[in-house]
Amino acid sequence: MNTLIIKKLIVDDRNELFDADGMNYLEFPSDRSRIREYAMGILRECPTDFLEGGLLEQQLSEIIKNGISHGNKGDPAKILKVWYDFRKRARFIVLDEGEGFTNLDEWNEFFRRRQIALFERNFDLLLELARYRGPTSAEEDGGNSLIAAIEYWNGGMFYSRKRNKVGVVRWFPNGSEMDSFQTP
Amino acid sequence: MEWSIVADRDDPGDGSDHGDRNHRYAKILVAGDFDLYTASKFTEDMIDRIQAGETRIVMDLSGVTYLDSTGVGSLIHIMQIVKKAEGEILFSGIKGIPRKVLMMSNILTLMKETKEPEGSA
Repeated sequence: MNTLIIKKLIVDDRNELFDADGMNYLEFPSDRSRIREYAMGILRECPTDFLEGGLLEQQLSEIIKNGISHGNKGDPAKILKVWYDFRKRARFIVLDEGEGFTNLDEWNEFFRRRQIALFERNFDLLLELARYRGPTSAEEDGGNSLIAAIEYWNGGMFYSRKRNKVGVVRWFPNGSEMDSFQTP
Repeated sequence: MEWSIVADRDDPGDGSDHGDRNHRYAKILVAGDFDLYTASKFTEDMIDRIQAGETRIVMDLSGVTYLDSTGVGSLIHIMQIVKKAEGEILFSGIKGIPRKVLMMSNILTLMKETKEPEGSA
């Protein structure tokens, strides 16, 4: 029997993923035209096995884009801060200067309805729910970056209480054993 | 990112049961990076085509090398517009990172895929 397990974005200020001790650090002006360039720059030090043919760059670009576009509203005067660590796994903390993901709960409700539609194979409803339109959504964003992110960051994805900082981790089949960052 | 109509045909061209053979399908070939820098122009062009009556489409994504959430949003938007126009859109050639991204976004399940036979236009 299939069981529906509802996934959602979690706010947890004290999560271990926000411990930046020992991590590398870079900061960037909020230039939308350089998002992928920033991601590729960070990944220069990344083990090849972790890149997964470009998937890590794609997913890192998404969280950088969220910080620059939604958080900092593309204001070049606002800085995006990125901590990263490639020991055993790929781990990132991304902090923007925005007011935070204020409609996170609304997005979770949208995502809950969408997961139910998928579970029930209600494709008409799923297509209707395929794009999320929040107050800060970009024209073609649709909230899909977060849906893919929840799938991709298999070691966890957490927001700070202010919701302008996200911590993520991905483990890889060829990586070392999981440690204390593993989610329950 | 580049896109073009490479063929107009009376059926989806895959020899399968997909599609409606009573209608003409436009085959759109898409190539390159389908992302936040390129997706909006593509969406606008596709919406113009659909609103002009091109409501039955086979979209070949075999040349797409990179797809981000903006590209995914563009495809969803196009699918929604086609449905509203009571048309049909089929996809072919979804592979690599774009396929993984569409799977992780739970969008692939909404996309009707067709396989283009070798040697066809």
